[in-house]
Amino acid sequence: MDAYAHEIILGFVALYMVFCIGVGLWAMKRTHTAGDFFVAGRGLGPWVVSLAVFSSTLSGFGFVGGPGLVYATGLSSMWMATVSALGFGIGYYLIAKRIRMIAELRDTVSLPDLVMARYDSNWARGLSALTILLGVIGYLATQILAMAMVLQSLLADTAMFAGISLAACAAISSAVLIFYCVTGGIIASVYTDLIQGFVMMVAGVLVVIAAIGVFDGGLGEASQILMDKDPESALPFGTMGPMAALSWFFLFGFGLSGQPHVTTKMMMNRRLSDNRIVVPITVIGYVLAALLWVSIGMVMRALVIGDMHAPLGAPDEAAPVFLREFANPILAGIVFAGLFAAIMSTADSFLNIGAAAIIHDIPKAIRGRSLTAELFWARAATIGLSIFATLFALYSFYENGALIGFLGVFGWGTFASALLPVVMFGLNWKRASARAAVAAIVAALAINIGFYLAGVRPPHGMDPGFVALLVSLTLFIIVSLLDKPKSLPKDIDRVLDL
Amino acid sequence: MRHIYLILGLLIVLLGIVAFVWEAPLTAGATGLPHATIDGMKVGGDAAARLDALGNAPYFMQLIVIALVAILYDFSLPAHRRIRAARVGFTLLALAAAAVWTAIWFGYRAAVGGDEPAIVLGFPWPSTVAIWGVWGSMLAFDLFYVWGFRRFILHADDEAAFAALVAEMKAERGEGA
Repeated sequence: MDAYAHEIILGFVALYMVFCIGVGLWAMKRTHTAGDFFVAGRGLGPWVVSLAVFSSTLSGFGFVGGPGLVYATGLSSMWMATVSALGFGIGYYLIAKRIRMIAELRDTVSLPDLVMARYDSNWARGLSALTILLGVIGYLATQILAMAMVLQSLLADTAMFAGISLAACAAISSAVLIFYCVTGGIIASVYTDLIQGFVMMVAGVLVVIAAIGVFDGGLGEASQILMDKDPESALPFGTMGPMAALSWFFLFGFGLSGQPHVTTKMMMNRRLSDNRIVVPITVIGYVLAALLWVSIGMVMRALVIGDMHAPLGAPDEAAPVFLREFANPILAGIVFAGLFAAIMSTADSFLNIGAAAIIHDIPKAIRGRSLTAELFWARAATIGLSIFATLFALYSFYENGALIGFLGVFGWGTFASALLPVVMFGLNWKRASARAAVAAIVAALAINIGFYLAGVRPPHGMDPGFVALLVSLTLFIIVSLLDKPKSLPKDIDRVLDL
Repeated sequence: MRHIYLILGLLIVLLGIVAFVWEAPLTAGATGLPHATIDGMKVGGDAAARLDALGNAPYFMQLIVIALVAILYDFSLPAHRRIRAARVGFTLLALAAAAVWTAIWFGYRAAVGGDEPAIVLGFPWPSTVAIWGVWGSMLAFDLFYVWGFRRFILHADDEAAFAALVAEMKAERGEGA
């Protein structure tokens, strides 16, 4: 790559990091209470909520892992991206309205708070907080590691930082992340998400245009190459086959509403009626950003399988290699900034809910009240959690690569299978019981961990999280039906009627 | 109450399909085969043999998922807002989604059976339908949410009832209205 092109890319990334620090300082002046820190005082407008919801959903996994999966397995993983319209639909039909109502009535700042308000059970609250903490550590470590690796790959090409270590890159990335999350809490997080969302949408559209230009015949020529060399990879289910693709459709579509970093943002909008505006912006924003998922993967697979490009060292190199070799340097700069945006917007959300679990939810579940001076401890927990996740990421990378992979995968499937039934049925069905909530969480944790420990992979590519989600949804209903109906607190009872 | 039994019934049928698939014979390269020379890349296995083993189980599974989505959306509405327009809308949108899915499935079966699909909008026809049709058919439910927002999601009367509830709870806690 030309030196000037590299400098342009680094310039965009540096500019973006400076912007994040600026937002942190600005947001610090608006953060006075733990409520401001965790849910922005429920005062956010629809554009901010929309872009925060979609940008925290599409993490570095979508920007790097997505194209890598298409490169490796064809269109199988496309189902994870196209299902977004279902995911947000489930979220807004079944959860968003009542979660926001209960947040206002009970002053909830986290998902376990909501679980407590709905089920009046410290077991359900404690188990949901524990699930969140377990998932957050893995997710956060994965995001920090991804950020460090991308930064290292960018800096390694410069004369000054040619030998920079992964640990140093992890420290730089985490420092920026910690700074704006600690100073500005969720306010900094969602306002950076707003910009991050715009950057991701622009990047998605521009990348598709660049991808179309790689072959004279556009994406059609890329598809034709795949149809000639390996037809199944260009067909709707890719090389993994229909059951893998459909299990991802179910897990990612239904499971989105079990992701605490997404549902927590549904508590933050200023007015209930804003949901009407939030839905289309979120759905369309996500799909624009996700366009690069399929297009980069397809083009790189066609180039390599058609002997027009050397094989990649690893599938996850698909996006970085495409950007370096086929995109205009300014576009590459925007997309690399978008990549950091995608990773950071997810990481900051996890830091926020992880800190809430540590200083708010778990103490409340154990001793019935949260810590005093919550804002101070929220900031301290954010720093502690970031440092722990960074060290864990580095340890896993150097010492035990399987561990971080496990926790990363464990995150989405566990959140979905453990938390979705609890939230979705709890907000729509008066008979949903606390015992059912505990049973669903325990079953989901047991199945997800059990599959991993036993080394069992469901056949035909079905995702373990999909099986766990189906079981926990079914179990939740059966246990609730078997349980003796209990009367609900007046406010919750009336919310479920609205 | 009927909704929850329908939802439970559909979930049990889905579990039954999963059990059937679990027991279906695994064919060579059921989830792809490593590329002979390119590290990290998989190529398709024997798709026709895989389809013989699975039959139309994936097709029926996805039809049930679509029905589940429509029933869950109706289930989410307040009981007094489950109006005819909402029911008709959910039913029609579910039928449209099922039609899209049917086109994808049978297009895929035909391609696996040897028919060369046309390239449309940059992808083989069944894939184009999968990319835009699956997203589009679920987007239609989301747009229906926007259209029906004041009719059955958050009617102005319900919004006022919620405001009254907030005021009442604040008064009970001694915070003033």
